[in-house]
Amino acid sequence: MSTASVVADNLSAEARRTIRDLLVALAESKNFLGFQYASWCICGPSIEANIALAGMAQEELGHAGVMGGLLGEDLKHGVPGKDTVVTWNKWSDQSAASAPFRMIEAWPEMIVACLALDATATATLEALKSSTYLRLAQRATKMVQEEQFHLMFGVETVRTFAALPRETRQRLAADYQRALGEAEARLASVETLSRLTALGMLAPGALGARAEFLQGVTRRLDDAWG
Amino acid sequence: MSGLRGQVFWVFARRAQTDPFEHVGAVKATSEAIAYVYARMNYTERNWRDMCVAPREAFYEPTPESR
Repeated sequence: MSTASVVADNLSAEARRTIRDLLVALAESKNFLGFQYASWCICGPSIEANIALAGMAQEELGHAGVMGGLLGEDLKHGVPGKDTVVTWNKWSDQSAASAPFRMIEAWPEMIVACLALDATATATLEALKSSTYLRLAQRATKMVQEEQFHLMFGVETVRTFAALPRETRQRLAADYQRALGEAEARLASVETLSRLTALGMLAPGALGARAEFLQGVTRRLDDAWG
Repeated sequence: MSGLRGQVFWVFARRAQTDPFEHVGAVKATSEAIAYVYARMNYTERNWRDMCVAPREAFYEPTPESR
């Protein structure tokens, strides 16, 4: 048995349940992001943006797969949303109606909604880098590294919205704030990370690292809104 | 800066700190920052250590008439 699985096997029932719920929420968020980026990768504003979106979709779905691996292998839990994307097994009966999510059909709205969820999920992963559950800590570290360009993409795309009317930008900024609240509700990460810290599963500074990460994104975004 | 349609940026990258930068391609973007993001996410065929972009217009090349 590997060291990592010994660590997972040694989790208390409460720690196991808490981590499981957080991983399920993160995997669902990643699947949602992957779906949106994949939906837009043939209709973005430029071929360069489309290629970036395709890469981001692959990474998000890959991250969801990593969460699924931890859930299945270590926590003996089903993998959520593994049929988010069309696979060879089910492509013939796939339709827009059977898709697990709805594509956000306006570019600026998609960008702010995904940026808010991506930033919240990545901030949560930033906190999980200090997890004593080693396999999770290692994977969180790698995912945060890969996410840096997603956040840059979101923030720099917001900067291109400077050409939009002032009222539209104000509405989008309000949409972003609302999406942040929804992302927090979806992930319940402050509550969950606090519980994990109390259980000794995270370093005492984990919540602070999460908050600092989100503040950094907010600062860059404030600058981008102009 | 060009309008929303953007301008061409050349992309340079290297695999090790001691390697010279090589010209790996170009992206069209509305700012240096988004050009960098596009470059990072478009030119992924190699594991580049460093990457940078520069506006095509920043490079001077004499025309045959001016030589």
